[in-house]
Amino acid sequence: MRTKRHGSSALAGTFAALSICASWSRAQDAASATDLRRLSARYAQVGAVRLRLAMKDTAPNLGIERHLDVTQSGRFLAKDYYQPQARLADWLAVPHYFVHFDGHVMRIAQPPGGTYEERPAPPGLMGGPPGPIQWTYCPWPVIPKLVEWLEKAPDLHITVSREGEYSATSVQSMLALDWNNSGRIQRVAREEATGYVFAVSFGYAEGEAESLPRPISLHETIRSEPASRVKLESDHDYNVIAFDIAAAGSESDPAFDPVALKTNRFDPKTKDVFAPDGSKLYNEDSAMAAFDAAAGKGTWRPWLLGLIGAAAVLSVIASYRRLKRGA
Amino acid sequence: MRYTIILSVALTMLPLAVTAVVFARPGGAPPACWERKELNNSIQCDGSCTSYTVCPGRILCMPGSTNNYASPITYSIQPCHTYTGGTGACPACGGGVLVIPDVITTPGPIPVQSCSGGCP
Repeated sequence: MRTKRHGSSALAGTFAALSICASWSRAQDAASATDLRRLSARYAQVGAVRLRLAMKDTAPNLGIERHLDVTQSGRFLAKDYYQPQARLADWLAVPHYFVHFDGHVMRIAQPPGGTYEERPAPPGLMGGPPGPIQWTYCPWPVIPKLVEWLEKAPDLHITVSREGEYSATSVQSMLALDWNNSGRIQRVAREEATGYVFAVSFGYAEGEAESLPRPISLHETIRSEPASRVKLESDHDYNVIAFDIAAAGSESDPAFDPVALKTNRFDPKTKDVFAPDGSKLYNEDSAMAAFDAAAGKGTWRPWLLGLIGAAAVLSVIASYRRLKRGA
Repeated sequence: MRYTIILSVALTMLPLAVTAVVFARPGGAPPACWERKELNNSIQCDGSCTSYTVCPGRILCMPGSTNNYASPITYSIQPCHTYTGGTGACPACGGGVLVIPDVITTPGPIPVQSCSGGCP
């Protein structure tokens, strides 16, 4: 009897707990959809963000920085500075790699970034998720666009924890967005069903009272292990060394300046390389052939050089003999 | 005697003149500045370009604007470049985020020229 009463009580308690959880869940789901739109409205006032990141805990003398300029329209300039041995004092003068996107054309450096090529933006890059991967580092200006795409996703799944941590995910869109009830973007990720993950999590200072959250640190996670791809298992922490916001309406698109970037345009069809003023510098195939010739690999020039040298020696000998006979 | 000397000098100078003509560089003096350029690249990728790796076949100093010294060619194993989130279709992958530090190297030594110094 005692056991039965205890069991009945436990059952009632469990039911009550489940009811509370269900009502909590329903209330929170409704609140989540509202908060997703509220998040979008909050970041609609961000016109552009300039972000500078420095990788933490690198090997001695190793220097790695990522610089990103992203606008609300989705245009961006992403530059990576990479100094493997810190031999140069001005290693931040020329980026090792960069990608510039003006909404139509991508300008992509070939590391080391002495040359770049132009490519039309892939169809649909700006029309739907997940968007350019560079946004993942600097999502604040494009939060309204990401929210718009997530809201249209048929498999959008929004959850919220008791601590006020929100998460909106769509497998079809390959997008995941986490934020908290103070509006801080906690994590942006591109996730594929194949197991591929590219995620960036943001750290903030405690007690921050900014109208728009300013991150102080960033964690980058890359996972990729498909059979035919390169296996990637990379985790890196960065310090935010600069974070500047331009209000919506006051932003300007990141300019592409090949002179400042010290880079020349490579045409992949003709293999010609052009200086920023449009003049042709060289043809890659011809230049390689010239180097091969100079290195004496499989060309006729070394043999010709030998023959000419031999002829010169024989001429000297013959002349000497003639002179001797004449004397 | 005089003709013999003239002929001897001519015979000696002729091969040198031929050499100068054969090995003359079109366009005059070589450029003052050089840029490190990776050439004969090979790419490892799948159809989506989600992750791909580009390995140089050789690294030479090409006309550019950064360095004023180009070293002789040596042979060594060099880093490849892995990208994630690229666009296009394999093997014409492009863009994406560069995975740094480099995680893959060339399978064997490749011809390498280093460029250093600084151009004005």
